[in-house]
Amino acid sequence: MLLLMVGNELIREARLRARMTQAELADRLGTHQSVVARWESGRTHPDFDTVVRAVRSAGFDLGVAITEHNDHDLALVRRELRLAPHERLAGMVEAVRKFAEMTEIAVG
Amino acid sequence: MAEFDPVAILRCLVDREVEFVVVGGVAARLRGAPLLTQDVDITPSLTRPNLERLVAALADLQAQLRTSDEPAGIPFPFDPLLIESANVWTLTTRSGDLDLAISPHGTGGFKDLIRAADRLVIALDPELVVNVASLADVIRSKEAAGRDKDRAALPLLRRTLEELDL
Repeated sequence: MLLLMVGNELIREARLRARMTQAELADRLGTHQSVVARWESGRTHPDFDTVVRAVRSAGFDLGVAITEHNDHDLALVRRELRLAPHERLAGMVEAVRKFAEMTEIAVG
Repeated sequence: MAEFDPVAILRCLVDREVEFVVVGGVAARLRGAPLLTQDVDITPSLTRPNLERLVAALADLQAQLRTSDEPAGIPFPFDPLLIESANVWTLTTRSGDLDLAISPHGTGGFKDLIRAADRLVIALDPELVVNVASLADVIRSKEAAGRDKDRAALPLLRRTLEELDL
């Protein structure tokens, strides 16, 4: 389901990064510009194989990986997202300072 | 070693009207990823006037080259042509470490990154607003760089992106 939502964006992003026109990408894929236009606009949903092939035709590889679920990370992320950007940066600077202090103490 | 003050570094660049995008770990943190970093990474626009403003800002920051042998820095005569000639400059300044990523891995540099960047308020009193790369672009760059420390950060960055997309 996620890929259905983002497949069009991935194809468009790969094409723009490769500085290609829709017609050029279509040509490499052996299809018509209008097909690429429909993918990119979200009017049609390319399947997984098509997204991989389109991204590769633009000169990139699409990386997909399954990683271990970690609730601790999620709690940290959600806490951070509740802050404004300036608060996130200030929090990081403070953490770096404390970390440096601890390192100095540990080193003596 | 200078105390790390990313706001001071970025304020100096803004005061000199340098066009740039914040990338790397600071961009990730500003976007909500709970990561720590001890340097500011920026990707500057490569127009000649902008590189001249960047050189002026580097002088204000007392920037020097930073190497593994000389973490405290080596004096270096920066000029616009020179900056453009390398892909990465690792510097140390009076406010901590600053890296110039001319064309971060997996990206097309400033023109590419500015497309999805947002102007975020990163400090108050006085307010400081800078262009910050999208989290998707930070992830893209770290994936392409493929260094161990970049790979280690990717699960947390991806988790943050998922939360932002919900």
